[in-house]
Amino acid sequence: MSGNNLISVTVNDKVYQVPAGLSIIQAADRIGVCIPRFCYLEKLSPLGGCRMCLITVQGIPKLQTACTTPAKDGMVVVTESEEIDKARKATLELQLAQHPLDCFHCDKATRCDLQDLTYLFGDIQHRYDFPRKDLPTLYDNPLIERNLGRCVHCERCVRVCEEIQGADAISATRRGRPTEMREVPGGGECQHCGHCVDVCPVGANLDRLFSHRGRPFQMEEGLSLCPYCGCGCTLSLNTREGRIMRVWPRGDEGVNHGSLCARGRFGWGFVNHPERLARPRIKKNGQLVEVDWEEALLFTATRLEKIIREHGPQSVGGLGSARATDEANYLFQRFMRCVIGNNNIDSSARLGYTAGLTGRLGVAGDVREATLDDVRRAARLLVIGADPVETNPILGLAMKAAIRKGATVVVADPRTTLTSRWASQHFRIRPGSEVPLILALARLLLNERELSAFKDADLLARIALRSEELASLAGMLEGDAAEQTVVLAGRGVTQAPYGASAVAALLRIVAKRGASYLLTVDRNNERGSCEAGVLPDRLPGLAPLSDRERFEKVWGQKVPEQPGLSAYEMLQAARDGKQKAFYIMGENPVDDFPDTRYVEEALSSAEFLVVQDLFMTPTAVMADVILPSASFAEKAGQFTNLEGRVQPYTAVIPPVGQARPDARILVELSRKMGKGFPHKNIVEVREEMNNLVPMKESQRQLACNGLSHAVPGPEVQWGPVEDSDFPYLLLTTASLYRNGAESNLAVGLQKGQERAALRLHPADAQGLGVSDGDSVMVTSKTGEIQVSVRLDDEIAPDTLQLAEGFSDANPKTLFGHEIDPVTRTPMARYVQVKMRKL
Amino acid sequence: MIVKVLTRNFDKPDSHTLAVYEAGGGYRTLRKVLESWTPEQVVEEVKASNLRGRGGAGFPTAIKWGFVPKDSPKPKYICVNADEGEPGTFKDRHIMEQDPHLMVEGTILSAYAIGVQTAYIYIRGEFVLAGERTEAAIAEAYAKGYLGENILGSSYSLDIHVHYGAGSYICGEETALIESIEGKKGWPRVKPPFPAVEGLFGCPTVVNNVETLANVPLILDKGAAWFAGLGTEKSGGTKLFTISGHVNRPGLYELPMGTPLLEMIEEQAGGVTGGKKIKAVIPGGASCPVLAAHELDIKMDFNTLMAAGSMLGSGGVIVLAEGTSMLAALLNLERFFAHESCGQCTPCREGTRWIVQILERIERGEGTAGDPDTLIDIAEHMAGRTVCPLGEAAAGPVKSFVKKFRDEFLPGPGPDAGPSGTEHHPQVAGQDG
Repeated sequence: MSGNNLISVTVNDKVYQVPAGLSIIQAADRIGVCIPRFCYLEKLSPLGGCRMCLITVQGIPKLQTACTTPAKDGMVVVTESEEIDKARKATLELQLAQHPLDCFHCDKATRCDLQDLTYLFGDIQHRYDFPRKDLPTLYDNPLIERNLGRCVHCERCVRVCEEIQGADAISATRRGRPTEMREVPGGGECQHCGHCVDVCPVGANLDRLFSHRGRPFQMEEGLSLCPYCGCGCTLSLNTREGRIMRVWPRGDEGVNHGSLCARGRFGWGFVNHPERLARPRIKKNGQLVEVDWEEALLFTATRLEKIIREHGPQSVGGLGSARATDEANYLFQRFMRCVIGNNNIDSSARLGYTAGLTGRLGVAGDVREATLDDVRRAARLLVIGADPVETNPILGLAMKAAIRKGATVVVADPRTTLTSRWASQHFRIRPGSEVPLILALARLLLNERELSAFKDADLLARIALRSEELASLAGMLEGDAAEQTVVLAGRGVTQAPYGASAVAALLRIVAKRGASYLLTVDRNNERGSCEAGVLPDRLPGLAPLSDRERFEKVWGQKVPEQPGLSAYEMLQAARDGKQKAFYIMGENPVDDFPDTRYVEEALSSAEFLVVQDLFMTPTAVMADVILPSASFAEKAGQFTNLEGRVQPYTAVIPPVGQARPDARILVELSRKMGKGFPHKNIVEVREEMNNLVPMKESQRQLACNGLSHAVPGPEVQWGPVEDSDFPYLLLTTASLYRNGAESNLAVGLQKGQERAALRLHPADAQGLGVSDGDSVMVTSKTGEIQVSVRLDDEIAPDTLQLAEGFSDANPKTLFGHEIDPVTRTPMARYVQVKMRKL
Repeated sequence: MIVKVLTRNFDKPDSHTLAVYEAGGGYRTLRKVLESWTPEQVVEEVKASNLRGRGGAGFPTAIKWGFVPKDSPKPKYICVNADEGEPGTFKDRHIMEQDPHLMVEGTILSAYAIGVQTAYIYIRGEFVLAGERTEAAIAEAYAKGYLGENILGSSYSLDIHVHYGAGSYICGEETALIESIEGKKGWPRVKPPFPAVEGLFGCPTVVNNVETLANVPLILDKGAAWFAGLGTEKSGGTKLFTISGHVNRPGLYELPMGTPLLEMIEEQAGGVTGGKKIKAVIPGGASCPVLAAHELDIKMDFNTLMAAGSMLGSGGVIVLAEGTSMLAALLNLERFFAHESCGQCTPCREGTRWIVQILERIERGEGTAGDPDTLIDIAEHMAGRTVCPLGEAAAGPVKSFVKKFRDEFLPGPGPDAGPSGTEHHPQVAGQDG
């Protein structure tokens, strides 16, 4: 035996050392010996079905499948011989016998394993001379076509759907030759991850959006990053003549390791959308008219300067972007601080990550932050107020991978979510009780004086949890496996009164137990925008304002001393007549911020509104200047994902029309305003930022220095106040198919789910006299929306669940605008409503 | 020479009841073993008896049991393979219908030997009477304390569950059977891991044929030496043969291992119908290579048949008289295999269908001169290159039929051309049906 878990295997007369525990095909792949295959794929369990990988093992008379035979020490393997060649050709002959050979109009042609192997083996007999049975192409999936005739029965699609995606949507139906890989009623629901398209060795599973849009060799491939959620998945954009044709992952690259979700794969349609803003516009005589950049920038600069002159620098507020690059956000905060002259800087990260960050800053010292790979390896996952399967689908896949390896997942959430359906235990806690739950856990697991004012019985009553249930939740953080325990928390925690205190308490528990944590992040660069300094009280790298001298030295410009206003404080200031102008870069507060009417009124009371965006959003409609910006695919930069991983990427296609990257717009505007930034390109911006905020292994070295937060007392009201006029409680959820305005303009996501659906318990539906698909009017104290209903008996009675992000029914309209005193985050998790049938 | 060992109760009235079984000494062995034998002693006795599996492969039973890891912390299972679907074979059905307690007692004793607490009997769905009687026997055994907690006051406990197949031949393959019990589609698994290590619900599992287990009470009652003495040097006990086809008295016959084939046909089955000559014999169920007339002077045991290029298989002897169309007979068999192919692996899925298409063409009189060689070529690519033995089973008849009766597969009417389908194994529905 060889030591160090290496074994020695002889392959084709050469001796190799390979790690123990591999199959022969895995060993061969590692030593560069090519064994043909259809069904084998490293990431899937072996099937042994296609019989292409037949090889000879000395001492075994029959040919063996390399994919299912374990490599053993001393084994002598032959992968090429006359017998093997004959067997493989015979298998190919059988495959080709049933194949339609319609390569002329197959999207897969030239990138097809059946074509390649047929070419490789060359002289294959074609003795099959019976009429081939014409099998249909199935179009019942709106995004994926299934061409049954081309199928080689490798079942990669069936296995990837079951083993990686966990959707179980594709089954091998019937038996024998009539076996067909298809979606069947009663099977799992397709989540449109498109993984079945990627793994198909032939043209059986195809991307319908790509249908006949070009031959694979006509595509240029460029690596990019997904612009939707905080996972930061690596995308390969397939483009032709400067337009995106399709998106897929590239090999195992990136945090997503070859997987994508519906948004990542099918959500690119907005990039080349006809409604993209192609030229700047300014408001003349009440009308938005197209102008050239020079005029637009000059107009903007002149108006901003006038307002600063007349009302002082404090009268301008800025929203950076949880969507834009780190560099754009970095320049944006520098623009606000140095060119405008105040710290009124915020972004939509305020709704999510900022609150969690505030909690993190409340804990001194190190707390281990989990990576996606840590989640994949976890033995235990405790999920509180989060639905990673929908908000961060690749994190959801990591969770499913852990479950497959035997991990225990416990979810505490008032909602029924795709995540809770995977849990080994789901505690349906009372809405709004995520914070009391964490306080109760802290009382159990930490010995902290501040929490002594609470009574366990009161807390448990609020949460609707028995003490033994709390103990079992706490048990997730105890014992030997603590190191392999990951706590996932989401907006259920951060968007709650005293959410920061709860996050801080949770992190102290995590630190004490040696576990790790990860916060779900809904938008791709919430974290990057914060770390770039788009915060009213923090400079880049989360440095406190007291540290500003260091930045002034590098920038050669003054940084105001007084902390700025957060998003809702700015809106309120505008309503109070104090805030006269807004500069909004890549945000759409009218749609995305709670209390739509409040936001609209605030923005319309400002004298001057600049919006820099891709589309004429409801926010842009109100603007005095619209500056068209480049989409993610059209610019270079970096995004910081939910793990804190800073990931650079490059432009793949040129911007549409005259759209420009955000960073370039800001540099040019700064020059127009006489305080010009020196940067000639994005790399110079990045270098300046990295000098100020050092990096270590693609993570920023951040200033986390133990803020002290106000600690809530027992008198705080968590959860809804019952109101007989508004008898239902509406809970917001996330959707796989939406994430911001862009997602509503992506044809792929519209096909995935066309409209919003209000999920409710059948008993409530009956009481209201509605059934699946009927429309209802949902009314809260602040607003109303019309939406169609979907019955779901797993939803708790008297509660409704509605996903955010659909433009046809925006739950943000229903919420108020009250903010948490510590995090200054508006609350938008639950609201009392009434409902009537339409 | 008929020996009544396994079938000793078959002729008694109400032979399927516990009362009759007990009157014949039934469950006496179980009591004896639980009182005074260790599991290891049971294994040793079975090993010494030369009992070999009766499902078709003839693997030594005690050695199969020995593959179960002793130190596994997981529960172990025994699955009784009562999914008897091999055309020409109907021995297990008779055991379950006429003496189900023999199988139940054999299951309990074997489970005890392996250290199993839960056993499953997987019965072919079409076996209605066999299923009823097995379930009734299990209920009687529970009522009498032969099953359940602390059997007969010992510290040993066992539960038996009955599970019915849904009509698929492949579920008689042991890993497909396991998948089926788990509630999945009956598709054979890749091996390794073998069921003894990772079987039912991922736990160590032994799958034994009904007839195999029915022998166990006899071995433990009368001793390994007695049992071994009933058979040949390498294979102990008697064997249940089911003789069908063109014979005067088709049926079930219990005979010593190594009984000459011709003696079986002439003396037990009463000779060929109409006094005709024998054209060919399939000696061990549909999947065994056919023996031509000149090969019939042969002893019926595992090793002799293997040496002759065929198999004892499940002991289903199918006799084809002079005048039978070998083309029609093979087409009938291959339609069966094409219909039953699970579709998982390429050679079997595509090969069985192609074979049927060629045979149908020959039958229509549209065959080509190359067809016999193509058939053999397809079969040779299937044999030994599939996930499970079904591919091998489908290939065996093709090779032997075509090689031994080549003329009948050439273009033009053969000497015995006739309609396909014979009375002993009716035509099965087409593969797409």
